[in-house]
Amino acid sequence: MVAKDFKLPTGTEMAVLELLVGKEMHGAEMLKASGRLSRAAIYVILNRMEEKGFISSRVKDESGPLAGRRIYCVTGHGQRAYGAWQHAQAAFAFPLGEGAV
Amino acid sequence: MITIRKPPGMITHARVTLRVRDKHTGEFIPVKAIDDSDNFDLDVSATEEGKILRRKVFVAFAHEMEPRNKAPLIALPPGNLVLDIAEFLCSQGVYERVFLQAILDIREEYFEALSAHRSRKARWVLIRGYLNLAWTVVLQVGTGLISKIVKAAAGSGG
Repeated sequence: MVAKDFKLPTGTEMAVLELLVGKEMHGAEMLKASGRLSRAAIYVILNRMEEKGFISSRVKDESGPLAGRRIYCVTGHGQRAYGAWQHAQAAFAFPLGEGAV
Repeated sequence: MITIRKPPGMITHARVTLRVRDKHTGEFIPVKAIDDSDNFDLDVSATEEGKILRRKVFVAFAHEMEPRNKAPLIALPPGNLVLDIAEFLCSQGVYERVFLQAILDIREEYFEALSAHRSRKARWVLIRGYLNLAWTVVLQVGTGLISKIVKAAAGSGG
């Protein structure tokens, strides 16, 4: 049963979830770790994902030259979406020819 | 002889002269020409008083020195104007989560390049950063408009 307001993550959002599962990162670290994310779009995507409830953020540096920098982590909702995506991958993404009778 | 440490975050563009105000006459006495290194050794007997405390010298350093070529002594970090505009135009959430983060990334990379004495790379970081930022504005405004249209369509559809 899928909730009415449940929104599936897009491909790029899934790439972000993949990076964030099990660890906290800030945007620049995500850019270095993934080739799929662009500098221009990363914070727009992260903001959208936060609004959807897939991730949450908190301010990492309260003072200093980088005061206000946020660090991101996955929420329970995001982990469930990621888990569902992995199950779907396992169920449907098999090489052509495999399973043919 | 005392050692003065440059205040954190201060960028000196040119050779400057440290001057200390004479307590009695109110005049500024040039003490030492300094470059943009981090620490300076200063002979306190070079001043008329010879009794200047470390704290006073530090304050004098922070406030009273002037560059020889009248270039700004303390440079604002890049992106200040952009942040001011974004803070004025955008909601607090979008400002903090999108534009501030993007500018902080640019600043971090810019200062890394500067501290490695790679000024060309620093300039390139700024150019690339501002181009990316322009594209970020387009994406942010575009996705905001699309989501509003979708919500309005869903609302009118019942």
